[in-house]
Amino acid sequence: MIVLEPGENIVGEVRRHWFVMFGFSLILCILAVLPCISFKILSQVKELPLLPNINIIFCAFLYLLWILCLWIAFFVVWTDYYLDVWYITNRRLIDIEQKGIFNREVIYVAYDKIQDTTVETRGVIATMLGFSDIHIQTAGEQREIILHSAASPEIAKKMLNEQILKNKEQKQ
Amino acid sequence: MQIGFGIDYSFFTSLLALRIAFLIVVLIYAVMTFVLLYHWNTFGMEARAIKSARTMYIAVSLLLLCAAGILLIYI
Repeated sequence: MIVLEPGENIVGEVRRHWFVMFGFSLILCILAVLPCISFKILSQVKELPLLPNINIIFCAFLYLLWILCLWIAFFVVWTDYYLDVWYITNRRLIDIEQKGIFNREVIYVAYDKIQDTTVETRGVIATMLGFSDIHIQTAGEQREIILHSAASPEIAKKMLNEQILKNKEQKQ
Repeated sequence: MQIGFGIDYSFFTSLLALRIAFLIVVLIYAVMTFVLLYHWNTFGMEARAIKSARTMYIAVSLLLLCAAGILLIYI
C-alpha cells in the first residue's frame, strides 16, 4: 500500500492502455474455443482411434477445468496490468511496477530529480489507439523510468510538466 | 484401452484420475485466489474496480467449480 506524506495528494494517475489486456484476452478466448473446435474436427474423422467411446460428460468436465484455469490466468494477468501504475502527486511521481505476481517495484521520484520526459509512439495500432511508452530520465539512482503502453500519454506528460513547474515555482 | 505406441491410457479416463485432476485444480484455485485477493486488498487503490473484479472472479470461478463437481458425480 502506498503511504502518502502529510499534505500530499494524488493529482492524476497513468495506467497502461486497455489494448494490452485486449491482446491477452483474445489469446485466452482462442484457447477457450480451441478444445471445442478440435473436438468437432476429430469427431468427424471416422477412422480415428483416439476417441473411442469417450462420453460427453467426461469431455465437459475436462473442459470446465480448462476454462477455470484460463479464468485464473486472466485474473493473474489483469492483476499485473492493473497494479502497473504511475501516481502523479503534488510532490512527487510514484512509479509502481508489478512484475508477475510476487515481484513488485515502487519508485518515488521527486520532481526536481526529473530531467527529461519523452513520449514514444511505435506502430500503427499504438498511433491509432493513442498509447505510447513514456520515458522519464531522472538524476536519481534509477536513471530511467518507463511506463510501457501508457494510455493518454500526452495528457500524462502535460500533467507531469505542470506539477514540475509548480514544484519549481514553490521552491523559488 | 490402448492407442498408438502400445500405451495403455485407461488410467487417465478413470474416475480416480479425474478426481485427482479436480483436486489439483481446486488446490491451484485456492492458492491463486488467496494470492490475488491479498494483492488486490493490499495494493489496489481503487476500491470500486477491485470490488467488481473480485465479485466477478469469485462468482464465475465458483460456478465453474460447482459445475465441474456436479459433472464429476455423474461421470
